[in-house]
Formats: sequence, C-alpha cells, structure tokens
Amino acid sequence: MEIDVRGLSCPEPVLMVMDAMDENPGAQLTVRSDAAHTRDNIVKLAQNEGRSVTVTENGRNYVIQIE
Amino acid sequence: MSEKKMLVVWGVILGGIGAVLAFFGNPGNMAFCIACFVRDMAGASRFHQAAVVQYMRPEIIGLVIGAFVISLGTREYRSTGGSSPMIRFLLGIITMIGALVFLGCPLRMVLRMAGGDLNAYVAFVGFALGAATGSYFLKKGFSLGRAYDTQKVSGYVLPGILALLLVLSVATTLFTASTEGPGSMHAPAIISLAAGLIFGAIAQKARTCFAGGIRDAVLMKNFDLLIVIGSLFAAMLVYNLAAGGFHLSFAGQPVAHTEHIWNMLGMYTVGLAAVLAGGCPLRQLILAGQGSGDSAIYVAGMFIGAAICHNFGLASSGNGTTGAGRVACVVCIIILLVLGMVCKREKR
Repeated sequence: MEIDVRGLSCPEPVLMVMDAMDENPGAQLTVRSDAAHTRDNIVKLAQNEGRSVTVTENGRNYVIQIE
Repeated sequence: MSEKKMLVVWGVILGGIGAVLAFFGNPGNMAFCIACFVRDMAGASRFHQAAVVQYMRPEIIGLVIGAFVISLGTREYRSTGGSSPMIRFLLGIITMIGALVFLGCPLRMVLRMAGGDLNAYVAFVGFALGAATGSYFLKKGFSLGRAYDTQKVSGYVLPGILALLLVLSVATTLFTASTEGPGSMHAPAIISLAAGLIFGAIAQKARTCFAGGIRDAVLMKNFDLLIVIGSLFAAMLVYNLAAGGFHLSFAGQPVAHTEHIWNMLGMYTVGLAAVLAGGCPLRQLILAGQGSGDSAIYVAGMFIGAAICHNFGLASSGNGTTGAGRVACVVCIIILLVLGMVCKREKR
C-alpha cells in the first residue's frame, strides 16, 4: 500500500500512516515524503510500533518502506 | 549522546539564550516572545502607533535567518507554498489577537511560568485545551491541503526582507524605537541578533514547537517536543531563581493581567490556531526560514494582526483586557471552530 504525504503539514502525514497501520495490520507500506521532519516522525512512529523501516532518497523526496 | 539527552541539551541552550537576553536588557519575563516582538516590529515600522511597543527586534530577524542558513546547510531548505495561504494568513491574524489578549505567545507563556507568574499557568490550561481541540479536528480529518514546490527564489523573499530591515534599523533612523515601556527594554542589537540566529538554528534542528509538543502527546503519546520545552522552562527557572526574578503571584507581574478567563481564552485561541496551522508562532518562523511560503504568509498575518490589535484597541495591557479585545477573541474562536469543521482532508 502506498501513501503520498508530500506537501502536507505536521502532523497529518503521521496521522495518515497511523490510520493506514490500524486499517491494515502488518501490511507493507510505502510512504512518499518531501520533508525531513516528516520522514523522521514516520520512522519514529514505525519503530515505536516495532516495525522495520528503510528510507531511500529519491531526488529531493524520501521513500519510506515500512515492513 | 542519546536522542533524548540531546533534546534536553537543546532545550537548556534555548532557555540559556532567554536568560542571556534578559541579562543584557530584554524585559525579564519577555526575554524572547514571538508575538510581542513581531508586534514591536510592526510598531517600529509604524503599522501601529502604540508608543511603548515599537522596536525592530533583531531576535526575530535572526530566528528566520538562522533557520534559513542551517536548512540550506542540511539540504532541508525547500521553497514551497499553496496550502490554503489565505486561511494561513487568517490564522496568523487570529494567533496575534489571542496572544495579545493574553499578552504573550507560547514561548513567553513558558518564560512567564518560569518567573512564577501564575496567570501564565492559567493560560497554559487554555493553551493545552486549544491544542487538544485542534488535535481532535486533525483526528477527524482536518487539513489545509498540500503545499507544492514553488520557484526557489520565493523562499528567499522573507529572509531577504528581514535582512534588509536589520540593515536599515542599524544604519538609518527610518524606524521608530520606544523610549519607555517594553519596547525600550532590549539587549544590544548584536547580542539580540546572535541570540536569534542560534535560537533559530537550534529550533530548526530540534523541531521545537509548543503546540506540537501537546499535539504529539495527545495524538501519539510522543513526548519528544515536550522534553525540549520542559528543559527550556527548567533553564529559565534556574536563571530566575538565581537572579532574583522569580515571584510567585497573580498580581504585580510585569506586562501581564489577572483576568483568568481571558488569559485562558486568549491562549486557547493561540493553541487551536497553532495546531490548525501545523505549528506555533515560533515554528512558523522557522518553517518560513526553511522555505515555506505558507508559513511566511502566516507570519505576515501575525504582523498585520499586531497592527489590527493596537489600531483598534484589541490588545490587553497591564490594566487588563479591553471590551473590543474580548469580543474579537470570541469571534476568533468561532472562526477557528468553523474552519476546524469545514476544512477536510482529501480522500485517499
């Protein structure tokens, strides 16, 4: 499942990812973000939930994979 | 060093900067206040005529430029805009009205708390309730929509204007400066500027946000931002205790009033507006520095809001609130509640 949080103000991206995690427990999520603070918050959220996270830079954006 | 310890260090440095500014001449319980200082700048450039609150504050200029420079260095700078700019302009105006009914932004509220001002504790309850109300709207799907990349130069405009204001304020007599009252109390410009630059750079790195601290605690049980703010409070408390600036009372606090309901509602307005805008006044200045045109519009709203407050008698004083200020505050809360209900996130 893919979530595009580019351009959204804090903490909307985190809330969207939280909702997606609740609705699809354990599903693999791909989050596209364009801001470092959003990236950090989502990584922290996923780690708090005990999920493994990888971040790759794609141009000026970040692709966050939550396994 | 662990991440949590680092947050404590950042907070202590921010509090230390407040102490340095107070030591060198800024008003003790207003050592650093975003709302008050933007208001002073509006006065210095004659957007309002309140003689006691006019001074081109280098701290604000330093904050934005500090965040601008560090975000260029860390490649976090990005010129963006287009997320409901006029709503953000309105939120900036509303923030200033709420802040000037209470007499301070969230940063000054914490500094006042550290000075023993019990009115600020009352206001904190209002602020937390406002931020919690905003969090409720967010949970229900509130959104101002997406921002998009703009011309790179767009993000340079606000730091550029502020740099120009700084040069003009030092090199010319173009701007007014108070000879009495809070506007006349200030540290030497070079210290104010340095303090602003460092504060801005750290606040950018630590993502410091007063509204965000409460919002993250409510929505995510995450207390990272509150650690920074708690440490800032502790550092300023220690300074006040050491320098004899701690006076635990409601009455007799400088540039403060004791109307509990309006201290609470003023900061309720600020807390709610800040969460809807995605950050407190400090955070908006930082985001504007790192290229957000939407935050720059919010800052412009605060500037105009300050002029509105003083030109039309909405701002409180040590003597208390004004009738017009009380009406405006209630109208602002109604507008915020309507915005909270009608601005919905796009469906996935």
